[in-house]
Amino acid sequence: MTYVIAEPCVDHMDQSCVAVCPVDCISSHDGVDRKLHIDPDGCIECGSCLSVCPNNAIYPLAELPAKWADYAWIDAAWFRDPDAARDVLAEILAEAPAA
Amino acid sequence: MTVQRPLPEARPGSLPGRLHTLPPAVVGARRLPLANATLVSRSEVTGTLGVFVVALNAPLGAFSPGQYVSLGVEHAGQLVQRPYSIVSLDAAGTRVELFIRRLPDGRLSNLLWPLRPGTRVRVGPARGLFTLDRADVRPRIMVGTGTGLAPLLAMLADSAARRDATPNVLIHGVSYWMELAYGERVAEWAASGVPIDYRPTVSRPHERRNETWTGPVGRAEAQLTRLLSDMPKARNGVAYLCGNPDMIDACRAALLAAGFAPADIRVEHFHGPVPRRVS
Repeated sequence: MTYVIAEPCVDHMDQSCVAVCPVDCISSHDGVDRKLHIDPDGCIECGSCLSVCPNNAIYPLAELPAKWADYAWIDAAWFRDPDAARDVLAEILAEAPAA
Repeated sequence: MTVQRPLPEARPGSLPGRLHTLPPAVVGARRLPLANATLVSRSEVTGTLGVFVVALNAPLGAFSPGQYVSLGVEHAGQLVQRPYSIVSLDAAGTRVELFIRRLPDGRLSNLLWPLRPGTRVRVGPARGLFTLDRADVRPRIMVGTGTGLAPLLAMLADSAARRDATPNVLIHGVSYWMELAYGERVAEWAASGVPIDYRPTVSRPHERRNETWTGPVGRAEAQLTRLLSDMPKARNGVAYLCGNPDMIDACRAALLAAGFAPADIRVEHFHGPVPRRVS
């Protein structure tokens, strides 16, 4: 079971999770991405990222709120086809009601 | 061998259809990280507490006292890894000492225990935000339970190496006195002039295994409360806490009640199955 970075990360991208990940499996491209991503193939499920995220954006996959279920797909897809993952994120955010 | 999990399933109809044409993962494209270190020794403190020393092929790189590394071994075609705080790193940066508890259901720790010296392992880069603030010369109150002592030892070693005159109180809480590892090392630092007030404590004094223990008893948080009451100077300090979540919650509450600012309470949670969020 991996961890997933959900919507609260969007446009915040606090880097604390990157600083604590012992296997360097959290990534984004500066100036391109609007959120950070956890590689499910690299995640060792230690939870270090969850414990430092100031935005409460990180969840174990099994506890990911249903409204953010697509973020699991986005995180995994980003490491194979980042453009597709970005497109999906953009569509989800466009559909989301204004906060 | 490559192991790659399938993409998680999207909610039906929740994703644009074109995404289902996403190319599948290329089998073999992602390789297991190579072993980059060798187990030098494993010594048991108790049947479930061990000190592991590994030698790296190349220097670890940037390291701040208090940080951890991932340690991994290959098992059934997978690299099984867990993070462990560094107890010590030698001057060359290639010899890493780790203090590890074997957990009943510990996926990695149960693989580590039978390993013999010479076994190849994987060690990741040093990571973590729980680090010693060398510039802060206020008294340091360090509280660790069990193997939570590890990062605090790295901080004290750093202080000893720099002949830092900042006073330290080290509370080490354990269930059984046999788990009080590293007491001799702390005593050596103290004898060499490092200002350390070492306060080991045993939380289960009435159990038979502790019947020979004549030292302080009670939980680490109780020792901390006593310290804050007996030593007013400690209230002007900075706290470093590492260990089980209940201890951390109790110590944090005691420190806040004593007037500590939240920013002066530095915390490292054990990396367990139920991580705590930022409070």
